Amino acid sequence: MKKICLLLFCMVSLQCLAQNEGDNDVVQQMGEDELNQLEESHQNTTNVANGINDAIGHLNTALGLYEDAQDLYNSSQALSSGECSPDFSTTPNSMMSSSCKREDECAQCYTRAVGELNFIRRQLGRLGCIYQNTKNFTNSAIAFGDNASGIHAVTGLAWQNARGEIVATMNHFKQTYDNKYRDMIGALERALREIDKCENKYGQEGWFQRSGFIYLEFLKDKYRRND
Amino acid sequence: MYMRLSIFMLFALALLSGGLLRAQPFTLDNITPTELLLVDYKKEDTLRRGLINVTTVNQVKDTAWYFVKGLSMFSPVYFGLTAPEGNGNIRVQLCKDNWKTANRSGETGEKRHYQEQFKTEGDFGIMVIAEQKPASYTMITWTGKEAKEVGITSPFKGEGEGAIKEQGGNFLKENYLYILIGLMVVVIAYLVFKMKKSKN
Repeated sequence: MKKICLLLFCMVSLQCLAQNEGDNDVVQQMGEDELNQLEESHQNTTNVANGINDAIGHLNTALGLYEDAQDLYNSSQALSSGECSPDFSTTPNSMMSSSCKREDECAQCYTRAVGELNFIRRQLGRLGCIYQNTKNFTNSAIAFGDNASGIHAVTGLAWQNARGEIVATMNHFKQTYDNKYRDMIGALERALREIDKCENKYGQEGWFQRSGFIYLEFLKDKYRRND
Repeated sequence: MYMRLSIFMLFALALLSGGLLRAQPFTLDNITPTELLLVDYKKEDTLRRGLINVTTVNQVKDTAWYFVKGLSMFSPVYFGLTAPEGNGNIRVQLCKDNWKTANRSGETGEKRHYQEQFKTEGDFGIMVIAEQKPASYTMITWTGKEAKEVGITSPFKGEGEGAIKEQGGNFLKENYLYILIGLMVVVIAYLVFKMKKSKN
């Protein structure tokens, strides 16, 4: 027992000796309060603070080139060329009729309902892209592992175990996607029913059966997972 | 109700995009990247408000790895690395899928600064290679609020007044055959009526 304790003590001591303070990178992340204080004071003269001020100056210069946040977003490209970008177009056959002009009294009722519809379309677009990106990421990780495992330290059985975990996680992700998809399609139908209420009040009766339903089916198909 | 739904949806998406699978670029190597945590920034400023991470580093190893998560495809992202005077060149690679493939890359060079602007969903990795050690630098990762206009087109056939005007303009063109037949029927009926009258 004493020998074991002595051995453990020696191992810990050796490890401490090997890990000098200077052997590791020093990484300091600023908190919200710290950042606010720095920006407010602007009186720092130390090298570190000057470095941070320089970096913030570059950020301000970059952001200052744009009129507003929308302008900045419009001019940004996706980080990866293979990254999914949501497609919000509607096929002509699935487009809905509308009897409400914007200046009419129905506009208030309509604006709210259409706002909700567009919000859900936006989230569905994002959901679809998250799925597509994750699928691509998983496929590329598996292909990368399959190719590299023969020449890499992580070989054979170790990679097979890791691969199994990746596949299992992806399968779990598919279930999560399906659940979110169901929730969002439910929310989409509710939004279309709201438009139907406005149409019943101010325009065409039976709007959902004639137009809304076709659009709902179109979006159901568009975002349904087919693998 | 709408507000509650919005919050629920955002929460649901955050859970989904929060990295069930991914939280950093894939690797078989024994790499443990440092997560750069985003904090609130300039809540009152319409352009600059969003989330930010400011990190100062004194790097003594050849390569350092970092990652940022929680980004939205509807928000712009800025990444900048600035080194103070006296530092050697620092190379930077921004990676999405794995650490071997850089999606954006560059170096600080004589300007002692490197920056990129892009949009992405979820996360991305940052690989920093110091040509001269130790290297000190500051990294800033900023992401703005989600954009309102993201290209959502109207699902309605000809929105509002414009559509109605367009329908009115095309009425003659689309129905000229029926109008012609109608006119002919009227003319024939008139002629038949005239003929009957003249017989009497």
